[in-house]
Amino acid sequence: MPRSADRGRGREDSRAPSALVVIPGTVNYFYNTNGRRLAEALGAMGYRVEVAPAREATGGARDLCLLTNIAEIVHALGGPAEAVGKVRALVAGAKAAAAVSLDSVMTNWFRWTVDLCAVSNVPTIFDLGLWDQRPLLEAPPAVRYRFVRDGLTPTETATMEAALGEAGRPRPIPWAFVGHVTAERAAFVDELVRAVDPGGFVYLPPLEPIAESGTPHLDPRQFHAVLARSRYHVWCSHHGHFYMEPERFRLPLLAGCVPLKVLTGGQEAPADAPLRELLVPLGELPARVRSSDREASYRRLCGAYRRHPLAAGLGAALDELGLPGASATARAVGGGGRGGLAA
Amino acid sequence: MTTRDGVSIVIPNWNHEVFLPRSVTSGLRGVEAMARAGVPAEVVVVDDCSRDGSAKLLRQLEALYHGRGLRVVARAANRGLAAARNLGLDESSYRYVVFMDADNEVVADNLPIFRESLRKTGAAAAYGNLLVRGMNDAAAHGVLSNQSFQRGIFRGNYVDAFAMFDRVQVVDAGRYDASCSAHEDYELWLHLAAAGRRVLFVPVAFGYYYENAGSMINREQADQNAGVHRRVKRIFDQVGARSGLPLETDCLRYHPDLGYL
Repeated sequence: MPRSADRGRGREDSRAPSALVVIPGTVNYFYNTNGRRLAEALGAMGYRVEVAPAREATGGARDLCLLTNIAEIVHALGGPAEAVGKVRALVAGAKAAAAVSLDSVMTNWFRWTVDLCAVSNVPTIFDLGLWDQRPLLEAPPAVRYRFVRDGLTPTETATMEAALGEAGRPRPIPWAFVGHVTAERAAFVDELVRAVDPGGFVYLPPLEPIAESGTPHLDPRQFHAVLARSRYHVWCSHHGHFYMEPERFRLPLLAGCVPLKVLTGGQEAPADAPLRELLVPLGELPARVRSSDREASYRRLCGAYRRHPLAAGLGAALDELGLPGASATARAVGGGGRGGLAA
Repeated sequence: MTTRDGVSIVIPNWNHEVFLPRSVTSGLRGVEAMARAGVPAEVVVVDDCSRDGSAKLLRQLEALYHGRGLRVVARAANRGLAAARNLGLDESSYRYVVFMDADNEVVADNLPIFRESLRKTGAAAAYGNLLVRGMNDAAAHGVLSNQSFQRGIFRGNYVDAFAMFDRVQVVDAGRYDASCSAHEDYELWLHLAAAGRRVLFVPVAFGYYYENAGSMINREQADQNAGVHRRVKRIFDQVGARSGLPLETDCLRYHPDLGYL
């Protein structure tokens, strides 16, 4: 669980731009994780950053306020009736504010995010992901949509490089699939067991909140341990729309495991989707998992993430909001080393 | 009682003639998978005085496949599922026992993972995901036994009997209670847990669970046994205090390549 507000991630210079990152603090841990990731990226860009669980966050004059994720923040605050006023107060003092989304724009969950932003005076949604979903937006949403290419923080980059250095470690588990159970996923696992390899790791509990501790679900450390012994992390969406779940690419990457997004139900990857070799039609999955290309595939994935650090994607979006962004990023990453801004 | 390392796959059968080829075949594949792992195994079918063609079919199967590890034990009178499983315990040649209904299938290649889990942890039982298929479906539409053993199980069962057991511990605990008809497996889970035994959830696929009209997954049939269910609850959680008591097996997840999760 998050502790109290985490101050001073960025430089202490009082002239540095200031940012508040609000996280739910409860419910599903990955929103807390992503809030902290964004805070680290902002800190690397020279921001003075405060990370605060929704119940502890306070308004005030700041350059930036990020809400990760507004729907869960509203839930953590007791529901819309109680939360909208507080969210308005949090963003009122900020020069710029955005709600961070990690979902398909075709889902009710995203529509709920749009609605909450509209009533809470949050003008922008940052879609933190791997593929710009504008082609799927049927009409301009009530608030501004801005795609933010997800990447790694400096800490995560170091973790990835360490994992790359252990490329030869034993990985006895052929594949791992983790998610809440649905009928479609049951059929998918059946196919994995029958046609790919029966020995995969299968964790499909009923749908329940996934807190950081105290629940029967896998916590982040346990999930990492699974991925660190697995050759592939495979999954399919629990809805019928094309989407590249950024967490499902990033987490195996950090554990030396190759992510494979399986396209089911006749889905096709858009021509401009990145990481295409990791988007696999169901029928091609058995051959792919048995191929000897795994380590080369992992190296290519690492290269792709090196080219797109999180600070670069976030910085470009902040530039558009009139805040220090890409230029600050260039200073932060020093134009060399692991980072760089190559698109 | 033998404590010889190995796996006995026990299939109680009562009037499931049409399903026996499928379950016995998967069991024999399990014997082969265990042999590849260097571990002896067998399939023991306990026929509970079936009235359909099971007895004749089983005699033929035993004649054909005895050399591959199939044995058939035929009861002279019908005694019910719990008694059939208990007889299977007595007839088993090995320490680790899989109970599989005659209409189900085991994922043969994963049996060594479950035996290894029991051997390494000393747990009384290990269960894994059961992929639920309709009787005529080629793909699953649900998953049973898909989460760890938690206190909530005292409010209702979500772990099927289709699992691997340490025969020594089950016998020591008193076996299946034949007086809890239709809930004997639930009663055994609660009994093992209440007695401080460990029960593991191993997150791999353990088998295929086929729904059919006589399956206990059928709500109507389950409701008919509500009285027995109330009795089981009265035995193990009569004052509702179970959620506050220690539970040795709470949330135990284990995989031989990962340890406890």
